[in-house]
Amino acid sequence: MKTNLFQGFRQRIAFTSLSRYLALVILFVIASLLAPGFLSLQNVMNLLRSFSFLGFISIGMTFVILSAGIDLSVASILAFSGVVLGLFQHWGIYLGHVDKLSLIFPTPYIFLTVLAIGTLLGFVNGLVITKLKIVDFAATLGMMVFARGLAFAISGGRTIFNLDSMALFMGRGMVGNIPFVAILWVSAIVICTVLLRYTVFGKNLYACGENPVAAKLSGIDPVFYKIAVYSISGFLAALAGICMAGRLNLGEPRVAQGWELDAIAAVVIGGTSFAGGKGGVVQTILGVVIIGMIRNVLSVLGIQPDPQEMIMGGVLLLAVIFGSLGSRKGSLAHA
Amino acid sequence: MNPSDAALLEARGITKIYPGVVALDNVDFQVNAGEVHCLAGENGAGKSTLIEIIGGSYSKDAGTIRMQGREVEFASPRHAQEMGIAVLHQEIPILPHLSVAENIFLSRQPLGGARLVSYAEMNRQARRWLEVIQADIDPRTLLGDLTISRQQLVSIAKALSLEARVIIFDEPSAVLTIAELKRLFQIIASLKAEGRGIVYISHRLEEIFEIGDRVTVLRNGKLAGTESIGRIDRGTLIKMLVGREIDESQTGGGASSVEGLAPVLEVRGLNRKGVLEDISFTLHKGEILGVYGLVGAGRTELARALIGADRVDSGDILLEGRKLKISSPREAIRNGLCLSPEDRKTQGVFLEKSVQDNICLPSLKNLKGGVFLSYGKIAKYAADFVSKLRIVTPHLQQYVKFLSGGNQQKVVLAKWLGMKLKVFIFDEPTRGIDVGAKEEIRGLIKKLAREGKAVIVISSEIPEILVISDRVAVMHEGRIEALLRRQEATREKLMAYSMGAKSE
Repeated sequence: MKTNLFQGFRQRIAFTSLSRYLALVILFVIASLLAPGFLSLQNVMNLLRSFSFLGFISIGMTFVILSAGIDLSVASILAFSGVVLGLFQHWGIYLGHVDKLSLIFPTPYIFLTVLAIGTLLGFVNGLVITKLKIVDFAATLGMMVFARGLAFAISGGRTIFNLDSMALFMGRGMVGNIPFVAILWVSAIVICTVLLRYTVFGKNLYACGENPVAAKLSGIDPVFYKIAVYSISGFLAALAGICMAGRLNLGEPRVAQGWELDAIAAVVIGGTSFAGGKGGVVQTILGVVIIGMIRNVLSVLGIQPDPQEMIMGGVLLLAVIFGSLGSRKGSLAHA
Repeated sequence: MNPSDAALLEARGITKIYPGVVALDNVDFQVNAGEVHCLAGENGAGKSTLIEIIGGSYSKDAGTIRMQGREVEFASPRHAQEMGIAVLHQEIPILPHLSVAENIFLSRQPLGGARLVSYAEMNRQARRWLEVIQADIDPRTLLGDLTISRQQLVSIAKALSLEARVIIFDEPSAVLTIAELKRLFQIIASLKAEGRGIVYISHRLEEIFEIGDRVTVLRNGKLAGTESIGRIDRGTLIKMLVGREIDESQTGGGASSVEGLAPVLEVRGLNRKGVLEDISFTLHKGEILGVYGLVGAGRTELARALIGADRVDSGDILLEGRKLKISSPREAIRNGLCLSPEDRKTQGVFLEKSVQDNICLPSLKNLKGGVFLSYGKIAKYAADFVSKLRIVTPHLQQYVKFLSGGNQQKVVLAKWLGMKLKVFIFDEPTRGIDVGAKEEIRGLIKKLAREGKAVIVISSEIPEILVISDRVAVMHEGRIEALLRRQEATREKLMAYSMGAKSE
């Protein structure tokens, strides 16, 4: 039996996934040649922190894409959550004294409330998709516009400055040499990996993603899993929103514009299939790190943000091409 | 060289190699004008690969294809089409939202003034081709609104309009009813009379003997032989197909009388508007109830209603005397009912998942070590069924899509076996499976009944129904037309009842 398991394992490490690791290694080599000090502990920790924010929503996106869905609303929920956090810490904004903290209730409760709201928005995504039978793309596009609009509406378009120390700790705090947010991210990765690999929930989720009809006939309720993945995605977006607000010391409705696309890119570069049912959180880390590294290297090279986007687009396209060549899952592969 | 002497299509030494598998090994195949050449072989024998190569979809690694003596090299399906080869796939690739005429003239629409598409001309031409095969179809109907059999007629019209000289039918009988198949055979006969070459792929031996002039059998990617139909009998053909002899006349064992058996499942007055009408029957412990009927008679719908996949308007389902309220397959399974669905590949198994994952999926909650899943237990559980059911797979992590149809069906069965269920419903359990594996699957189903499970087997194949059932329910237009004991069930009776002839 041992050899059988081993054979199966070997089969899964395809050429395409190797090419991803190779890309990462090349990026690290380039970066450390360009910037001496790149691999210093200090800088690695900084990188890890900068990856974490995108990292959270990419984990959520992985769940959604595993269920053969797509969540365009994550960046908006992220921004909205930061604004809600800011508002709840500056309740007095309505009373005219913006600069002073006036907590509506203790910060941990605010965190829980924000997380609950994010989860709720994701839950609504899931409900709209499953009960109203709206396609994932359209439903979450609606939520994307709605949540961003809500963020502007409740903040009146203003940036809410200065958060309390506990909120700041979420984004800036250090535990020894390690950024707290990175610890949080890695914990999320571990928990989600265990969830996907070692629980009935995870196994059933993969089944629903690959073939909801067969899953239903096998006694699994695909509706439950669809709603669950969007709720998880909403929760992680809210968590990212709290950490991001803490990092910037702002509640800002304009934050993380276009990040939903970076998250999707990270998932796809990691190798999770749009067709659903294939991939995982560990692969997504690879995608997040590759995207983060490319941006980092481009910045070190002094390339401006706009051309950076262009290059990112090319990279994404390449990743999809390699992915579809490997799996023959591209839409035209059978034409 | 005289072109009229040469075969219409001649493939020589065709070889196709996939990484690790030789799909076709030096296969010769030829089609003469005015003949129906049947192509048979177990699943995975290489029939599809050969057809795809002849149809220009796949490239070949070695060998030559000649058409009337001239060597050709097909670069694409379109190229093969232009050379006069039409492949009618089992799953007809159609654009359901376009009209019949638009489908026929896809990418070669007749143009009118200003080089714009002329719909009038297109419809006129389409009507003409449909008339040739006496298909009473309005070319302006949307293709998606037609039944599968009529869609097939449209494909034939399209093949004719392409001036195809070689027309390849890929298992048409899998989706057609008996009456439709008869019609198709008439059309094929007339195409043959016109001097076209027909390639007919089928699993069903009766058809091969009915329609074929010659038969070519592939086995494991190799040519097992090409014979004239007149010169062989059933036994020889089966032997060619499986490489060994199988006694087809073998009848089912076990109890032939259901009297005295405890009732397990009672269905009373099940109704679903336009689909099921007043369905009532009782299923006993250890009994196999065969359900026969033509396509569209409501067999699959009955199965789906029983396990809660479709809702019903009225009626009761009782399990061991207890009234069940089932609104989803999940609840059905919890209550002890399961379905092995008709469309195995899209509904029964997860093609992109491993054998292990497929087998264990419904039983995962019993395969935990503490809070988390235990992969040791999972592997052991799966390995147990793989050896018990003799599922042929190189290892547990093999994707199910790489297994043969028979082994996929065994995987579906294995999925349910470990769950202590009471009622097993099989919808077309042996469809599209090779002869040897059919026997094995039937054996496994009979074993289930012997172990005291209540079993329903839905099938379109009368011999299968007769071999496996203790009783037979014949369905017609949503009703159970007759409920026969095996002793009373004959081929003729089943056919008659299924077509709505209520005798007695």
